[in-house]
Amino acid sequence: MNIWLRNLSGVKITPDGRHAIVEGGGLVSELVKTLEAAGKQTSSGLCLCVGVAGSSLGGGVGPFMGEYGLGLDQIVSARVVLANGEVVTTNDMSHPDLFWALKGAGHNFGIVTQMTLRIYDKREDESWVVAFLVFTQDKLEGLFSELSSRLPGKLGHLSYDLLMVRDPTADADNVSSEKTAISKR
Amino acid sequence: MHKESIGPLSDAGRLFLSRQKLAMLGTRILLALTWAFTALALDLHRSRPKSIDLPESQIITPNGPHFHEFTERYLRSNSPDYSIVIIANTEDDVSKAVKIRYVSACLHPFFRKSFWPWTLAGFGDYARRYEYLAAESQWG
Repeated sequence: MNIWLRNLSGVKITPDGRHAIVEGGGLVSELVKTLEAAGKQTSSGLCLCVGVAGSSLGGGVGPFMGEYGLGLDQIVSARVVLANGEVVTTNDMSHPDLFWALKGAGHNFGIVTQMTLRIYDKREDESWVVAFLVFTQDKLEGLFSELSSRLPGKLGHLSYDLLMVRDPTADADNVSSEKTAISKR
Repeated sequence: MHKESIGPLSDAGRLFLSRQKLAMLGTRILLALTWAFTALALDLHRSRPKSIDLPESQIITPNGPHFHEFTERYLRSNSPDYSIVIIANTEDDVSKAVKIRYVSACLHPFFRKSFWPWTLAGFGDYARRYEYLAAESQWG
């Protein structure tokens, strides 16, 4: 049984400009668009087509996680419908244990109908680069050692995902490292 | 055909026959009522929606006209073999939709004996077994 939350959509920025209130069916694209228009940004999932609540409750891996942390780190409050139909507001003061559990395993404890997220002022001098680097398996240990020695701290603005894939069709002898996108605003 | 006269009946005999006829009449009335109720029950049974008649997918809104019918059918079927989408327009809709599964879980002996009142507050495999997929509902 699925509960379709798409009609519970909408993103609002609080008057103090420090938080965004996202409805349970709001998409990442709607969040990004609303924040962009207000000169704000926050850490959320990378894919624009998924729900903010779904992606954030499971982690929220995205381009700003090196700067602000994961998407789940931005959640300051959430309204949750529990299994018995009761609606509760969770945060550090109200149902703190449930709030803790939501951030990372929130899919299991109820349905989040609204979230309040931290947002940040957008930098005027923002520039960024996105690169996809491909390594063969024999470089795996060296890669992890290199990343562990550099992060966290030294490259605080860097966000990276490691994707380990077994692809029988790939040519292991001709793997290339490639920068795929560079942009400066 | 030979017929043997038994002569005039005594008062006790007439009383006995009168009571016997009354008893037979009562029995016939009872049989007729039984038949009528049986027919009525069978008709009602036929007119009831059966679980096998459930379509593979239904889209229901908690405030829509078919919500209660859907709830009854769903609970009666007690089967996870259906793909059902409940459209929630409000937080209250979500609450109502969740309660369907809550009741369903309570009715199921597995949960009633072992896990109630946890029901489906969400405990990994148990919740997944009953397709309580809050995650999917929130993935766009």
